[in-house]
Amino acid sequence: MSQQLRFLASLAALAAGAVAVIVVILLTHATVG
Amino acid sequence: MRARLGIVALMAAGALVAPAAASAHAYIVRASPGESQILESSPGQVALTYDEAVEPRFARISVTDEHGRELTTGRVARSPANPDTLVVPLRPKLPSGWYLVYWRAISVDGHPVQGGYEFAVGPTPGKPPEFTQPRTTGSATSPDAIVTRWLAFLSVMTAIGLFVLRIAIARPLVRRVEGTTLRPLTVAFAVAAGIALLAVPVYLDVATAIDSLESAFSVGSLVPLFRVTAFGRAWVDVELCFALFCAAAAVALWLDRPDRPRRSVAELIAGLGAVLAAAAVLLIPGLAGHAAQTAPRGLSLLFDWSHLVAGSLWLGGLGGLLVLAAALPAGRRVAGLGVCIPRFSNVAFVSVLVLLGSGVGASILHLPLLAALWQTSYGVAILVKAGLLGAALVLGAVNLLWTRPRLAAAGESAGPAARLLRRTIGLEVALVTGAVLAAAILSSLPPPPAAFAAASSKLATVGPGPVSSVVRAGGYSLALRISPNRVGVANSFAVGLSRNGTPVTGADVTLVFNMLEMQMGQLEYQLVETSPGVYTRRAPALVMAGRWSLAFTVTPKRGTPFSALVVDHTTG
Repeated sequence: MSQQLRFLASLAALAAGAVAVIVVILLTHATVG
Repeated sequence: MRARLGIVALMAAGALVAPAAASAHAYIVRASPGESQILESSPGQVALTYDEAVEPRFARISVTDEHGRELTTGRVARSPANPDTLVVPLRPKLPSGWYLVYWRAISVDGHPVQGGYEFAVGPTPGKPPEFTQPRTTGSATSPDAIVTRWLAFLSVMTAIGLFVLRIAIARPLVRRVEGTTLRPLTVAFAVAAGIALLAVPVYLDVATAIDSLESAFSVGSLVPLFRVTAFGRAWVDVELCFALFCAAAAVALWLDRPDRPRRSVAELIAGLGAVLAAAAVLLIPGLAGHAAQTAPRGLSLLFDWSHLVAGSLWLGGLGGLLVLAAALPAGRRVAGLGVCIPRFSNVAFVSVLVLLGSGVGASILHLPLLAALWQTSYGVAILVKAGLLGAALVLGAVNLLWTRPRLAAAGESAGPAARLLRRTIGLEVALVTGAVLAAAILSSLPPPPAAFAAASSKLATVGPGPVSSVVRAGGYSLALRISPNRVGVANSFAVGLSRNGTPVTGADVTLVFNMLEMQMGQLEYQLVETSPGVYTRRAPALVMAGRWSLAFTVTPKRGTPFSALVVDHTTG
């Protein structure tokens, strides 16, 4: 497995985490105002 | 050792943990026709204005006559004039008589609330009959909602805890004990995550079915309703964020090479992504529940989140240790557990401290009075949960202080100690699983309202059944009569006011009702003097079984006003 593929996969995982955090921030904003 | 024992004992004693909160539930601020109003002509519709914009698709308004015949002719709709008002059309030309309006709505936090009142069409409606309140099936505390909620929480928390155990706590196992693998933990994580990905939508489906009074199997009509309430939107986000967590965790586990002591940058980045997603997932239940409705919100949400994080690490970690104990080859079991258990113990110790701290903090924020712990079903659920966690803590302490040193001292010949360890961990998992069930029940129950604290100044507790008792306040004697003291009917409330045996006439007497087991609107009635010194009122105020505070405020014609509060227990 190439180093590049590993690095890209890890970036995708980080992006998934970031999207989850953004979803929760939006939900917090909508709920708590 | 003694100090540690002391801390563990203290933790077990103080295991008052509760991830939920007080809240504001929807109640009616204006009704047309009004309560006990006698109209001259038949109304075209019933309009109920709530304190918040309740969802019409989840609301029910029924209008029945004394024979229980339904008189509404259409669906509940939002009034174009006011988004907080729901209207339902009525049959034209209702005959003279009394009618019962019964309503049910879903509060923003997902709790169903209900109530009822009577109105009459004149000119001679006669005496109000004894209406029977319509029964609705299902509530947030029905068994199917509780079980699916429990499964959702259990699987999500276990999956997150298993991931942390696999990626961080048990990682050195492969390097330190030859011939071992972490694959069983990865498989256990995948199974828990798969169950969670199914359990969350199933819970959302069941909860939506209860709210909309439809069957849980009519999935086609329920799915469009998933995002209608704040509660539904939040649980859709739980599923979305959990799916993102699963994707990030899968990458992190795929990249992880536990045989190397140092992690690569890619491993660290992927792990960070998974941890961020997991942290996001565990914040949402608080946002969807009572925590977001309780001031101070920031602190309340922090308690809820840290409670779930600590619970996940403990639950998933214990489950993972059981998996490891079963999957490790017999010859390497003791050595393998000898690597993992000390590392897990440290995490578990901090988790339990956080669990206790956040639980006690949340209880202080949400319970209006310490007595609410044993006087309300919400409080009893906290005690049951605390008891189960306390028992799990005692087992954890036995493992930490007794079994672990024996395991370490005896080396490879520590078979009996290892067996005992497996049994106690198994029992601990069962107890923590039970505690999560108690938490699922707890967070489905309405927390005691602020009125509960005021009820501590009660002069008497009366009911269930017809009430006839005398209380004294302000130098006066109040002879109370409540009949039949049942839910859903117009009960008669009477107070005979006397001083030194002489009836007190011409006083102004008001009666304020507050439900003590959940936050509802306060109802106030003026009592009418029907015979010298006897003030009465028929009112359908007791709309729910449980304890109500009845506060009489008496202003005598001559003399100082005073109040008398009694707690009435009413049954269905």
